[in-house]
Amino acid sequence: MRKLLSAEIYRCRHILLFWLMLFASALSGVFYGIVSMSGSFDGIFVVPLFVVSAAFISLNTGREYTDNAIRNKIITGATKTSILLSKLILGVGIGVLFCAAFLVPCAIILSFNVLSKIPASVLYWTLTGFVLLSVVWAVLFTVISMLISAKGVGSIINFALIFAIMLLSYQLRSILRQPEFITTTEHSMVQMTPEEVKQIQEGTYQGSYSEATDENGQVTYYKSVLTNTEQNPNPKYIKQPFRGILTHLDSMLPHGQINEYESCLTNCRYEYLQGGGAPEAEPLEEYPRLKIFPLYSCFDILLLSGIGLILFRKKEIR
Amino acid sequence: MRNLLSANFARLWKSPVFWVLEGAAALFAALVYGLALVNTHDFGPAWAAERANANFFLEMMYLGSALAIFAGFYTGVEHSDGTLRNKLCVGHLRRNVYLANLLVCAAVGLLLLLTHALVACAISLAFLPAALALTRPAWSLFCAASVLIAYAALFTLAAMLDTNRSRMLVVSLAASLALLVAGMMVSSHLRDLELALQTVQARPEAFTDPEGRYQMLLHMRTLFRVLEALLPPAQIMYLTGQSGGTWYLPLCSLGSAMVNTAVGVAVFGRKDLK
Repeated sequence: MRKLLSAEIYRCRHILLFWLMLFASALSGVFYGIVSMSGSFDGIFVVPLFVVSAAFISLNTGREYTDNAIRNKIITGATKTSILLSKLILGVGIGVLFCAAFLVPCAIILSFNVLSKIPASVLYWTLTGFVLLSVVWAVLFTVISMLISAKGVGSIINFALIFAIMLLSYQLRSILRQPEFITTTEHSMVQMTPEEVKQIQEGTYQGSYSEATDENGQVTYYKSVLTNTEQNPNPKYIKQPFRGILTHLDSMLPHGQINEYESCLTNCRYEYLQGGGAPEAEPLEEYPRLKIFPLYSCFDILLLSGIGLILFRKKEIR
Repeated sequence: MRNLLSANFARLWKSPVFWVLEGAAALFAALVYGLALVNTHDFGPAWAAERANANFFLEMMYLGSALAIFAGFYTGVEHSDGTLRNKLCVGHLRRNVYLANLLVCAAVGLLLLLTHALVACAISLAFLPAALALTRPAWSLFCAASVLIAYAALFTLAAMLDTNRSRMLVVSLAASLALLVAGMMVSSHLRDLELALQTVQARPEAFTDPEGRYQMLLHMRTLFRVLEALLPPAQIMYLTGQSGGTWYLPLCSLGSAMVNTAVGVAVFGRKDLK
């Protein structure tokens, strides 16, 4: 397998496509940095990194099928397991490299006025998790490209998966963010006291009010008073155990993790701007899942690799 | 030319890619209008009428990618299986071969739009007539058709000039997504600039140099209008919204299609086909 891996790395270093895609990752990092400077962190602008990764892995693997390189590797004695493992290790390397090419220019641009507002602990967990989820994407693309040898079909499926997983994670977030109770309030109009009327006439009354003039020209002032508050269970709130399953699924999806990172980073920035300094509360207490996302990513990598190995060994290479 | 077109359309009806894309268009329309039914149940009937344009033209978001996939599989395969070379061997002009493929690609775009419209009408007329309350149907359909023709011209250019189908597919798909995002960002920035210009005109006292700011905003608006004219997908935000967009945008889309076609025919005429 060592020879397979060194052949893969040699080939990658000497094809123009690799350096073009690395440059494209850096460009998408610059673009993300510029967009994130002005507003909040938006996960959708990270997608170009994954599109570039999918494009490179699909084209690179597709070329091996077209050139019969994979069949030749089997003929020379390499096992299917070692071929796929070398591809997966290369995929991990590609994921890390492209992610680094994305993060470096992004970090340089954001270091001017944004990164200082975010606590170091949040940055650490976000960066660790982001690198791992880039690896998850790269492993997914590698497995799809190795299992589907039809020209172009693998690349289409990879692109479609990026958007399907993104839409699924948005939908899951929307479902999981439904409140448990819906608060309904009842108000009634009450006539204001003479002291309050005097304040209105002096212009010192704070609050909303309405006035009604009767047929004799007499003005009466009313204010809205809360009479009843009810909390009713929200029918769209998902209860346990289904809620737990959806939360685990959301944590396993790479874009589900990105949604959580973007919420935490935006929250840190907002609290900093509102509070005039570093936030008082530890932000990770509000986002406890950030610390376990790396574990989910490692699980995803192992799961995808296992599925890929099982299916690739049964695949007929023509 | 007539023979080329009949051969292309005969192959089209047997193409699995075409029917998969048609099925996806029908499924998408069913999904969008199914969700519209659910939301109308929650928010009331006025919701469907307000969102009529958005629901009907939401498919424009993915039709560019659909045309990229179709051009890659249908037109791109002609390089590898020798169909292109055979067409030229029997005496057809390169220009006619190119134009025939372009017409088929454009026709597929319009057929996908038609499928979406038919499913939308079927569901809406049966359950939710308010969902068909399009504000300017003829103009919007003309704009949508111009965007699809521009996409078809671009991806036919890529498919006819690039002999590597996988590379062409990946590049075209990435280009369709990049064009869509760029078009929507340009359109959004243009709306912000229009609002900023109105604010400066209405309240000049709020700015230290209102005249200078106004001139700067005018220059930026001109730049973004040029970008908007160059990017056919920039019209998609107008299609899904309430405003009509400017009258010259569909003409610019058709113009870019003509330029792409002229470049494609010229380069394809000199290409060495193996």
